Amino acid sequence: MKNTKPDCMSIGVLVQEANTADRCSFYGMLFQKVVLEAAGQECLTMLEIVPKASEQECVLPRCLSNEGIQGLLVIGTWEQPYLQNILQQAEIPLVLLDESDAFYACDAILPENYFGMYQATRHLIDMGHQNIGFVRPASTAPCVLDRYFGWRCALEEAGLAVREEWILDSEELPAGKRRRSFPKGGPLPTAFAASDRKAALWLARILEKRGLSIPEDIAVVSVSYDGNLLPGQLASYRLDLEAMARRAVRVLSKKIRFGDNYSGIRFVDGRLEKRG
Amino acid sequence: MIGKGIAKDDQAKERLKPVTMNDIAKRLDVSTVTVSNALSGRDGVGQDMKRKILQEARRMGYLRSMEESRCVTSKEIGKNLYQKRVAVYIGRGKHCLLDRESWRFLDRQMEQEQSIASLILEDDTDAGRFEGVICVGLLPEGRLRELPSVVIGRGTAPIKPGMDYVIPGFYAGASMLVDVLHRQGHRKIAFLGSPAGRQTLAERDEYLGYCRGMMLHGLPASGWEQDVESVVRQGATAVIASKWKQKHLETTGLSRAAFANDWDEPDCLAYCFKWNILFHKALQTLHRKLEQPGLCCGVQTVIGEIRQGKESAEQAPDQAGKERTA
Repeated sequence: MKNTKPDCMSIGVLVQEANTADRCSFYGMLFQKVVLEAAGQECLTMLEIVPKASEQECVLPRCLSNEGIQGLLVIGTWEQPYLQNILQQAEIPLVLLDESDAFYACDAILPENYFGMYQATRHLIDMGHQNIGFVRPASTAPCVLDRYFGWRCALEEAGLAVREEWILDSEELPAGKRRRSFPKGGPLPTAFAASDRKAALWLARILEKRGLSIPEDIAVVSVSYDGNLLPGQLASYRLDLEAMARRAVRVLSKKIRFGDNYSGIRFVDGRLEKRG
Repeated sequence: MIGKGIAKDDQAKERLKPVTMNDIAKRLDVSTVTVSNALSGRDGVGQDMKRKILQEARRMGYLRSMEESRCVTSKEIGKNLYQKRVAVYIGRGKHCLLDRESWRFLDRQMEQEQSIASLILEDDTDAGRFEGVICVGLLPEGRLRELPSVVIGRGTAPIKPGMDYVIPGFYAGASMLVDVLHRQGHRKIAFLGSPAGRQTLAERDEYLGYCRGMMLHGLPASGWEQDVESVVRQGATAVIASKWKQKHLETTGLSRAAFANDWDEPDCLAYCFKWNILFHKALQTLHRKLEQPGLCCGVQTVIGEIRQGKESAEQAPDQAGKERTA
């Protein structure tokens, strides 16, 4: 009997234009891992880069009308109307990577940002720090919020104060919003949890300017995707991009081969890497 | 001789006869209901009496026979297969945590995972008989700490480094509930939790998840409300309650969303914990730990599912396409 199932599958990968500029960025690396993983699982990948204008105008991606594509992997955090449009219109199996939608039955693979930052902050608390600040980028993306709440959860659980003046913005904020920079007076925290490596780098520069050193004066932990620690940084919760890519491709290929069943939202946990 | 032999046989039969609750009740001169309540951890029996009943039940072999009957069942299932003896620890007097439905889940899971024993432990007395333990909602105590363990839930203490947890996504679930209520048109959504002193770590996750959901939609999050009156006072149109059966909530006319177990049948929008997947994940992790001593998998989050109860389905606007239904 002839096997009608194709041996080699073709999957479309949708990424935002802004996320393709830097190959070493989170999404740049995640995309590379997806392509590698797909190749390992005998899947051809077809990349479609979505310009910001198309996203804002809700223009459907071309790969949805391409008959050769059997499944779609959507990477990144998207404008809600655009994503909802895709979810409604797509007639092929679809998996979201680093994005989820509670309303539509769409499979999603997410990194463990909340408990990741929680664990990094707990590490500081276990080392005796009681005054811990938070450094965040200007973005209000879900991953930034998750890390912020992870930090807050660890502090509240330990009965420590969440002090607004110790929540710093590492980047300029949109017009009309006041940026909270490094406190000029008053007591300083003894440690900071940085939302990502960029925020940690900004903090390190500011501290250096003020003659403070890491970790002697101020301890720093962060969440990262490459596992590289800054000089003196105590720990970093490393997101497992490989596992995310592997799981996403597996879920999608399973959906293509065995039917488009909903298997749910899955978190991929990382690992707390400590210095020394 | 013959007579004596018969007498001996009768005694042996008598000894082999399984001990019942009635036997324990007769011995202690209490009612069978009291014995049943004490053994299942229900209220209504004083601490001293409960201790007496448990001691007597253990002395007469009743508890052991309960345990053995479970072991035998599972042993038959897992015969010659994966010979690991895994216990489930739920703490003293908390049998109500695992009701009949969850037991069914557990037995089925044990069968699928080919584990040899499923047993509820209330303390560390029998720790030596097992190779690993799954703790439901609390950390292992006493001699159980020496066994490889996996904790389901947040426990009663902050997450400990080096320990393994399988956590129902309280945080993600609350955010998902906000998302669904937002799409139903609600903008003033409140959070109703337990009063001070009875708040749990899981509830804190739920509250923070609620705040996250509100922030994502650019809406102001309310404080942690502790009673229905204050939710009504603030003019909310919908409320996320930490418990499905929150008292008096259904009479307020507010749209309700809550957290429930997957065997519950909530009448409102609910985020349901998938206990079978939680146990499956916990057993999987425990087996990996037993095979690779020293392995630590850390925190693993299991996402439940959103179900639309009757009330919620009536209030939800029509949505074409592939929206999730109950």
